[in-house]
Amino acid sequence: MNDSRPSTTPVNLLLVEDNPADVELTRLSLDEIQLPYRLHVAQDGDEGLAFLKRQAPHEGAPRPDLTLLDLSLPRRDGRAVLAVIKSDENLKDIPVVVLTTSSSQRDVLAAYKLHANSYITKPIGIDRWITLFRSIRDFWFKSVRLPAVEGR
Amino acid sequence: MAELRHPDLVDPASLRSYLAAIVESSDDAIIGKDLDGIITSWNRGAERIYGYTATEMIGRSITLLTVPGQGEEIEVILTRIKNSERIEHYETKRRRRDGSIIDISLAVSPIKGDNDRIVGASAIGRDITEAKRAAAGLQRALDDLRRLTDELARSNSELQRFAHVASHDLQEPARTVATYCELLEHRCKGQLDEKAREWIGYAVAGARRMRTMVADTLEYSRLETRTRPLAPTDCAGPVVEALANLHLSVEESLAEVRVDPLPVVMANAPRLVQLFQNLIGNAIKYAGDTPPRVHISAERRDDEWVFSVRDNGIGIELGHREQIFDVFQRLHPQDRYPGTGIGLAICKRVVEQHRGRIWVESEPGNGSVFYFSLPIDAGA
Repeated sequence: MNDSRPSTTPVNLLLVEDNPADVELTRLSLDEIQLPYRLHVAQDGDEGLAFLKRQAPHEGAPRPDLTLLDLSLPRRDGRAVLAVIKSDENLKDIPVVVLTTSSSQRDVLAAYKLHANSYITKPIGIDRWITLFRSIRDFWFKSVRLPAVEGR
Repeated sequence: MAELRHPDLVDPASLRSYLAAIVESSDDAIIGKDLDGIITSWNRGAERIYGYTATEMIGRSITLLTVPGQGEEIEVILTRIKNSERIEHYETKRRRRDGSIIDISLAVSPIKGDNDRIVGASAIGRDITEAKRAAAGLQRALDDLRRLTDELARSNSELQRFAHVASHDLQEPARTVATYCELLEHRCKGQLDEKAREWIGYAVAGARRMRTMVADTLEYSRLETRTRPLAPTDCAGPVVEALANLHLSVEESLAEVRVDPLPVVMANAPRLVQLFQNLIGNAIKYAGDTPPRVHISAERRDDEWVFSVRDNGIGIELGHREQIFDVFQRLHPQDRYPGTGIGLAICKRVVEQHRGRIWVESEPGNGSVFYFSLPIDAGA
C-alpha cells in the first residue's frame, strides 16, 4: 500500500447531507470498517461551502481528505456546490464523491461533467452501506495517493 | 372584339346594348368614372352592393363611397390609372348607403377614348365581406387549434417530467424505510418478540414493494419520451434479444419457444425488445403446472402486421381482458405470481407509440394469445 498517512491519524470526512437517516447510516457504516475518522456534517450546500472555505462559523474547520456530497440538498443543491468546489483553485483538489439516491444517467453525466471524482448511488440495506464504505476506505485511503494536506 | 360572329352584333347599336346587358347582369359592381373620379356609369351590381341607385350616383364623386381614414386612396388610384396602370385584386373597404362598411376587392382599368387617350376608369368591385369574415373565422380557429396543441404538448411534457422527478424522489424515502426496518430486524433482534418481528417483516416487504413500483413507474414514464425515430427493423432481432434476456427463466421453466419468420416493420428496436420480453416473460410466468410452450408468429392483415404470442398457460378470465393493460393492475396474489403489474401497461404504451393496438384472446385453463398490430408503413 502507498499509505503515507499513519493509520492512527483519523481521516477528515465532510458529509454534505440533509437527511439525518443517511447521516446515521454513514456513521453506522464507518463504525464497522476500522477506519479512524472524523465526520463533519453540513446540512445544506451553503453550509458545505462555508465549511470548505472556513467561513463563519467554520473558521477552524479542517480541510477534508474526502467530501461526500448529496445532490438533492436544500438551498444550494449538490450540483451547484460541486461546480463551486471544482472551479475554486484552493478547493478543486479535494476529492468529491457524489453520494445520492439518483441513478439517473442525466445526473451521473452532469456530475462527471462538473468534475466529480466519483458517483455512487446510495445502496439499500445496511449491509450494502457497510460494503460501500469498506470499498471507499480501500480505494480512497489505502489504494490512491491523495495530495498532501497542509496544516494537519 | 374580332371574335364576335353573331349576326346581330355586326350593328354597332346592337353590340352596345349586348355589352350593356352583360354589364347590367353582373353580380359585381361595375362603375365608370372620369379622371376626376366623377361617376359616369353605375350597374345593377353596384346598386346591390353599395345600396345607391344609378340616378343617385351618376355625376357624383366616387369618394362618397370611401371610409373615413382612407385619405388619398382614390387619388392614388386615379394617378395610377392616368399612368396607364391596371390595378388588380386591390382589397379595401367601402361604405354602403346605410352606413355599413363592406370589404371590396377592386380591379380598376383605364378607359381609352380617341387617339388612345385615357379618359376615365372602369372599376369592378366584388363584395368579399363574407369571404373575409369566413377567412378570419378560419384563421381564428387555426390559431385556437395551434394554441391548444402547444398547450397540450407543454402539459404532456410537464407531466412526463413530473412523473420522472416524482418517481426519482419517491425512491429516497422508500430506501430509508427499507434500510431502517432491516436495521431494526438485525440489530434489535433480542429486544423484539415474535409479533414485532412479523410486523417488521411486513414493513420491509412493503417498502421493498414500494421501491419496485417506484422503479417501474420510472421505467413507464421513460417510455413517454421518444428517444429515436422509427426505423425499419427486422423483428427477428428484438425477439432473439428478448429471449437472451429471458434465458434464465426459459431454462428454469423448461420452456419451449417457437418463433415463426417475422417481418420487417417500422419500429424503435429497443422498445420492441421490451415488448417481446414482457409478452414472452408473461407466457412463461403464467404457465401453470405444465412446462410453457410459447409460439410467436406474425400474419399480414390488410395494411398491418398482426403479431401473436401464444401460450399454453393458465389463461385469463373474460372479465379481466381489458384491465390487465392498465398500470399496476394484477389478477393474482403476490405470493403466487409476484410483480407490480406494469409489464402489460408498458406493452400497451409501446404498441400505441408504434400506432398499433394490443389485445388478448384467452380461455381459462387453455392458454392465452396476446396479439398486437403494427401498421405496414410505406417506408418499411
